[in-house]
Formats: sequence, structure tokens, C-alpha cells
Amino acid sequence: MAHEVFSPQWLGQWAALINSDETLPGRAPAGVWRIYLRAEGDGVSPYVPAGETMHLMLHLEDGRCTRLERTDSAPGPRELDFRFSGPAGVFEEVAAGLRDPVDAGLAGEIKIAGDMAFLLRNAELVKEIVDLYVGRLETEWPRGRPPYGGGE
Amino acid sequence: MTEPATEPHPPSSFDAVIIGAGHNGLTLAAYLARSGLSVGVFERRGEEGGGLCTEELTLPGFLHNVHANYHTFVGLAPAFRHLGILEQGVEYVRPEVQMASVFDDDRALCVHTDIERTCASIARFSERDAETFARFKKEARQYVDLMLETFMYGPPVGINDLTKALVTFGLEGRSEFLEAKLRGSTIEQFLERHFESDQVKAHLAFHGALCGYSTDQKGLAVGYPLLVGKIDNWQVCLGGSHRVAHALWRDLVGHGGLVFVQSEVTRILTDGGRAVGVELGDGSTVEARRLVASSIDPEHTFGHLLAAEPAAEPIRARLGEVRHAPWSLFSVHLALAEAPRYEAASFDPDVDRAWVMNLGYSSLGDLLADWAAVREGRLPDPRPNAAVNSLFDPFDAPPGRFTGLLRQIVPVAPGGGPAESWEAAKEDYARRCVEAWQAAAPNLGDAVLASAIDTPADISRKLVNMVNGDWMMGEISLDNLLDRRPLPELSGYRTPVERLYMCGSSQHPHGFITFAPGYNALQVIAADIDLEPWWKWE
Repeated sequence: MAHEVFSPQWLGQWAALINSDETLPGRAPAGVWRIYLRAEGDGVSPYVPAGETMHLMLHLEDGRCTRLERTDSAPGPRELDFRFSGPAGVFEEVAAGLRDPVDAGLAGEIKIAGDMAFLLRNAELVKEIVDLYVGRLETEWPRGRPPYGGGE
Repeated sequence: MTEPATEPHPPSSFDAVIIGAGHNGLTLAAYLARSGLSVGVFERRGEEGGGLCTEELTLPGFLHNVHANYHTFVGLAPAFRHLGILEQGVEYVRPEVQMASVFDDDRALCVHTDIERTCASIARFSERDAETFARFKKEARQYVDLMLETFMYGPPVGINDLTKALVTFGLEGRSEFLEAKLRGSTIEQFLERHFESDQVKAHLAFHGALCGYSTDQKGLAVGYPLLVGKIDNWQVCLGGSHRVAHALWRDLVGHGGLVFVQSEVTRILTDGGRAVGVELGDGSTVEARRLVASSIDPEHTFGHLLAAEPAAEPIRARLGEVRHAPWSLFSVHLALAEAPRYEAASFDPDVDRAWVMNLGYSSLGDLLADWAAVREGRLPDPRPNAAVNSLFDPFDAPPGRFTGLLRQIVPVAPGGGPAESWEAAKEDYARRCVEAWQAAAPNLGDAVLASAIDTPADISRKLVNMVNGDWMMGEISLDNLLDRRPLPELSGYRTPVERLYMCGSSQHPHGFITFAPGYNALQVIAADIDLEPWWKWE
């Protein structure tokens, strides 16, 4: 069932997809990864108004998603391990499968911060989680679907 | 400019004691002081700054950067954001004509801050190379932030992890220039693969050499795209490079830190395998309540300062494996009555406005011949690089006068002999370097007012951590970079001696004014002593 992008139900669907992969816990490094996604309203996205910021926290604990929700503010400096930040429109294009996330990262549109050595050591896992976000979530776009110009 | 106040009598105790007041030691110290720690920095020399050293070497009023002259990480290094370096009296100029090569046929190639003008200059040698360079620069500029974050400003990434990730993320299919096989390639091979003009390849290899990347070293191609990503970010520090050191000092003391010059650390004090303080040359001791960080070389740190410490023995036993470059830099600093006017200006007038000059490398073969010569201990026929900071800096010479800097890659000592053998050779070699410049710019024939020579032996005498004239504080080679630098056991900034950290340019990534080793050591220290990482996400 499709849910509105970035809605609690949509996030729940993403978490369920992560947790449905039974191989992840065996391949993920032990411990908690705290990933913060920061999407800036860019005047393009109808879901994050211009000048506002969407904060989203994803916790992976031993390969299981234990938290995936929007928060009212950015986490404190001790409350995250990685940050992905960029214009909301780019995150939405990635979610819609219109923009390759690696290309967006390479082009500097989505900026990545954190322990890059850790990220690279676990590249396969990172790619798998990102791919879930990109390709397999059923998404509704009631305020318009990227590339913007009309709703579904 | 107010000179740093020195404290004649150090307090007997600090939270953090830093050995060496080079830019990495000062960077770490400033971050720690901003984090609320009491910090004392102890420096052997009479001023802070290390390689950020500006002196009137030739005549009064002529300011020469003895070591660091080219600043390529301005605005890119996190320290610029976090420590307010540009708000502390430091001002940079980014010359519009960044660098140029004058070739033996008196043609010239210029790199501008304007990519279109750079490509137009390259196109005079090869239209195809101009198009290739435009694509390369565009791609490299896009991912330079990511590469800086990955390669420079964080604990080192293993080369195997790196190449595996390149494959996992499918980068080879997305990039014309990034390939896993770069780890086995030289810069020469990379340039031969992508470019056709001898002169274009020579200039691009020259740029790599200025960054310490030898053309013939297997594996260095992997870092070359990052170099090109910032090829147009070479900046002049107005009033001399030392101003950056002064800014770091100012930030440090503004947050309660102290710098003690002429205060050589002679021993690191330990208790049960833990660093607990230092002993100074006058026999006094200083307690380090939480940590000691050494920004000097591993040989001195473990071979001398910890000579009797059992916990340091595994490192002491391997100090012979610390790799230093078999080449160094021979510098001639000049006071000039006029700026150079190049013969090649008839081909491209912009060469007379260029900052960093390649005087004579016209092909990859020229560079390869010099690399081969210096590895064999032979002095190459001078094909120096040159810079006239006064073209952009109104403060570094009296009005109407100019400073000049000539640098030539050389063996550590001529003939492979002892460092002292420079004494017999340096005057003649300096004359030949100046003649090479005069050949390209004949008006300099009568323009030299005074000169001062700096040999590899002089480098080490002044800055003892630059062992054997090694201005990068460790060879730039794939097996001495990333998680292998300077030894695998030390590459993570921690040491076998508890609470002792390494934070100088012997660590990842390397020398140059990157601020990175100090910044990266900070990440490890913060995790170990539970500091609030206020800088991390800014």
C-alpha cells in the first residue's frame, strides 16, 4: 500500500523493508548506527516548504532498524554518527527513482558527513539500505510528484 | 602585528600538552582550548608556526616564506570554519592566473581561476585535451568535497576498503576518470591515458609534483583527481604565511591556551605505560592531566622522547621502517628590482601575471628524467618552479621591489653523500637555478638584488621533524599513505603509550598546510576523553 512520502506510514514501510532482510543482521557491524537525514526546503519540494528543514533519524542496531522518524530539530552532536544533507527536492527525486543517490552524492548535491572510513568499510550494506529507499517503497505524491508539475 | 606573548614560566599542569607549535599542533591545541581544556604548547624554536615561517632572508623589508608558500586548502579545511582563521588578520589572494608553464619553445600554458580561460590556453596545444580537461575539472570539482571528507578530514581509509567501495557503488561506470585500477597506476600513466599533448601532460604532472606527488610513483594516480579538483585554489597569504600561524596562536590564547617558545621537550613522562607529562630542556616538568600530543616526527617522539619507555618499544623497533622521500627541495629566495617578463609572453601575455611558474618541464619525459636523477642522488639540470608573491602581495617587499622564490626538486644530498655535501655545491647550483629563470625571463639578468639559499640540509636544521629534508614528513607513496602512514600501528593517531597521540604531518594525510593531521587527531582524542564534538557537524 502506498503512503505519502516522508509520512510516518511511509517511514514505517521503509523500516519494515529494512527489517524484512534477514541477512542484514548477520552482515551489519555490531552496535548502533545513528543516521540523520537533513532535507532543506528548496522552493522546489512541495513537501518541505522553502526555508524549512525536515529532520529524519534512522537508527540501525545490529542491522535492525530500531528508529525511523521525523524529529522537530537536528540531533545534538553526540546523537548522530552520519549525516546526509541536501535539498529536499533532491531527496524526493531519489525516492521517486529519478535521481541516482550515488550520483547525487558524487555531485555534492547530497553531502555526506561522518566516519567515512566506517562507511566505506560497510559499502555493501550502505548501498543496500539506500537501494531500499530508492526503488522499493510504494509512495504517494499528493502534492506533486518529481519532476514537479502535477500530482498523481 | 602584535607578537605572541610567551610565558616565561609555564604552569606546572595542563589538561593537554602539545609538543611542537607547527600548524597541526596549534590546530589541535586551538580546538581543545575551545572545548574547555587547559592547553600548553611547547616549541623548541623561537616562534610558533613550524613550516609557516616568514623571514627577511635577503634584505630588510623583503618577506620570504621559508617553507610553506602555496596555500591550497583555503576555505576547504574545516579549521577555516571552526577557528575563524580569516577573522584573525589573515587575508588571502587567489591569483587570477594561478600557474603557468613556459616551455622550451617559448610557448606557454596558463591555468586560470576561470576554467574557460584555462581550457582556451590548453586548446592552443590540443583541442581534445582542452575538452578532456573541462570534463575532468567539472567532475573533480563536483566530488572534491566528498573526497576531502573521505581522504583528508577523517581517520584514514584503507586502500582496499576504498577500492572495494568504488566497485560497490559502481563509480567506474559513472566516472570517466575514477577507476579502481588507479591504485596501481602512476600519474604518468594516468595522464598518458587521458591526454595527448606533451606540454599539457607536462604541466599537469608539474602541478602534481608541486603537491609532492612524484610522476613516477605507482599508485599515486588514485589521489590525482583530488589534486585537480583544487587546481585553481592556490592562494597567497598576504604579509607572509606566518600570519596563519599567528592567527592560530591568537585563537588559542583567546581561549585560554598558552604557547611556550624556546621550550624544547626533552622527554615524555610516563607512569605505568601512560603519558603523564613532559620534561623540558631546563629540567622542569609539566604535568599533562589528560593527554600529550606530539606533532613532531615518530623518530624523535619514540626514539628520543620515549627512549626508555617499555610501552614504546614496539614502535622504536620499527622506526627504521618509517619512510622518507628520497628527494627534497632546493630553494633560492631572491630580492628583485623588477618582476620577471617572460619571453613566452609574446605567445601568451598572461604568463607575466601568473603566480606559480614551471620553468622548463616540456614533457613527461623531462619530469621522469629528473625523478630518476634525484632517486639516484644526482643533481638534475635546474628546471625550477618560481613564484613572485609581490605581484599579489603589497606587503612582502618595498614599493617597486619584488620577492622571488625558486624551487627545484633535488636529491636529499648531492651524490648521495651526507647532508653537509650541500655546502660545497649550493652556491653553484643556486646560480644555475637563477640562470634557468633568467633564460625564460631575460630582464631578470640585472634584477637580482640579493639571494638566500635553503638546502634540504637547512630544512632539517631548522625544522628537525622534517627528517632528511623531507618537507612532507613522510614519503608520498601508496604504501606510506592512508592507514599505513607512518606505520600501520600509528596511523590511527593513537600510540601504544596510553594517552599519547600523534598529530603532525607524519600522520595521514601528509604535509602541506592542510590542518588535517591535527584535526583528525582531534576526532580520536574527542572519542577517547569524551569531548563534546561541537565542530563535527558545523
